[in-house]
Amino acid sequence: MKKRHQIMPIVWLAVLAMFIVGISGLSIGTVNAYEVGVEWTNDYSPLGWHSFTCADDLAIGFYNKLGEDGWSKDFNWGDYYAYEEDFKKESIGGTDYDWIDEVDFALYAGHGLPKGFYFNNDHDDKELTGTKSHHDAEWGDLDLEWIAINACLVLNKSSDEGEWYERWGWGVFKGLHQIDGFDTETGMYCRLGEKFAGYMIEDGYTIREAWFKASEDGYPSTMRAAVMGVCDKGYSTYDDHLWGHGSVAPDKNDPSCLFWVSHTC
Amino acid sequence: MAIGAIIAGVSFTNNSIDEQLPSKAFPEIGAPTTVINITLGAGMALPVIPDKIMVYKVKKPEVTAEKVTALAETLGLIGDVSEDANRCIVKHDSLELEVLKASGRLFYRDSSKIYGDINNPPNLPLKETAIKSAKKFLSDNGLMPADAEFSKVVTDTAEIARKDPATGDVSTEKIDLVMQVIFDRKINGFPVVGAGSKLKVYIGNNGDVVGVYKCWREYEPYKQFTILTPSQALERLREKGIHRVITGEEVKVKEVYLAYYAEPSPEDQEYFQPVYVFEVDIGRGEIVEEYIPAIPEIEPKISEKPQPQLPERTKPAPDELEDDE
Repeated sequence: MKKRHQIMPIVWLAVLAMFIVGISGLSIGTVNAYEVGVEWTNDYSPLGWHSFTCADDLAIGFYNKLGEDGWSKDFNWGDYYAYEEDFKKESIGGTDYDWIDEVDFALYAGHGLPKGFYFNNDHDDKELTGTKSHHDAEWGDLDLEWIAINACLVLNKSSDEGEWYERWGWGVFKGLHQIDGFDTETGMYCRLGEKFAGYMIEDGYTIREAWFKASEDGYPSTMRAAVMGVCDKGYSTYDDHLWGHGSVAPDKNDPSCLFWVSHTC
Repeated sequence: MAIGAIIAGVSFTNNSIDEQLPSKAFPEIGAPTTVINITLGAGMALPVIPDKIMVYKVKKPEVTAEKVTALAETLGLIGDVSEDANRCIVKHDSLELEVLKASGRLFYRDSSKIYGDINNPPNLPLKETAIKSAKKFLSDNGLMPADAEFSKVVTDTAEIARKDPATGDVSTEKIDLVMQVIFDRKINGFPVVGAGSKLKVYIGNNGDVVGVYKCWREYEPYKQFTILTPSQALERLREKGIHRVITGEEVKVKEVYLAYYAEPSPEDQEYFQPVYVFEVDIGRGEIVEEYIPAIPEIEPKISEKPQPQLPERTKPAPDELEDDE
């Protein structure tokens, strides 16, 4: 069941004040209207795949760093509690309205392929799918602005399952600002999340720049990070900052222009 | 040492380790699951490798505010330096120099240009010009290591996809954003691999240098160690498995070589240790690198880290501002 907000005037004033602080580029500090949620999978034994040991560190490092910046830490689900349906749209039985699309920034760490990223349990089919013909996800129609996915190949430019914009573009961007991921295979640098968040918070980098720099610190030059976003005029998310640390583009529910940018780590 | 060998599951080595070499120094791995058949590619032979190799002790970099300020001035960056436990950083307008204390990694950038701008595509030079500019910049500013070798030039690119709202037709446009001139390193004749061995010069509009990323730890000889043979390393790879999604039942090793491993730049590193690099064709057109520590005692224990405590999953709390229905 979707939530709807009925805001009282005094809360509106508080939200307006936070917005003004946010667009002025100042750090909000203590109380923050913005929310972060992370999910991760180390144990892939149910799928017969190699397991990780620090997908949790990667995700929780990000989660905690934003928390220190005053973000509300909404959820941190891992392994058997990381559910594919948390990322899935309601119309096909998903519950993204309670989880991924209920926060402003989400992060996932685990295994991936061009057509999706993977979970180890039956909530519900282990693969959050994005192909030319099918999209499990529609993001940004509620709250989500940005999602970072430390998983191989999700943002591969071109694959048998479709081009980047066919797999993760038009069908998925419903107000979403960016997907930050990888064009190639990637690793699992335990401190990537912490570094990524740190560059946005402490140095005021744009989200794209912070993703590229953190990936460059953590991964060899055989790997390429990638960022997807909106480039409609007046709605470009290319230079989005973290809330409270610089400018953020307005939402575009049905973009007609998408960008994909790669960076050799 | 014998107990260590037993734990490692192998019965070789006469290494006498006065100082414990850290086993953490390699990319994290988890438990192998499904057995994958790892075979050598057609016509591939394992290399001939010496049975002993030098391990090098990494010299702790001296990163001080004064040194970073001086380097910044060399690069034409005049600004105040800020310092914390992890780094020193100098900024002025769009220019920035950051040096990490753990590794000495320096990152110099013009933030307005280093990753390119899809709204203002640069006029990038020819490769040869980019290489020349990069080498000159490094040399002129005392940043070119004696053991750096030019490796390749890559170009970071963008693609713009535009959908016609009326017809749904999609057109695409490719944009070249910035070039990276990349240099490699060898120690003792062996390549250095890993995230923490990098020298890159970013070349932007009209061939301007718009950034430098340099992680190049200094080292000194420590001690010779007996190492695994390539066959033994291959067996370890078969035990360890491939840490990617494998959709088939077999993967093929395309190349094997000995290298030294460099940890990511934010990390402290005590030694340059040898590692076997297996380049593996996992299908889907993907070649991945798998690392096997070459010193037999250095076998990272699988699942060494305790299982993280998972918070019990609960439904989200009702929003206090929810509508009454």
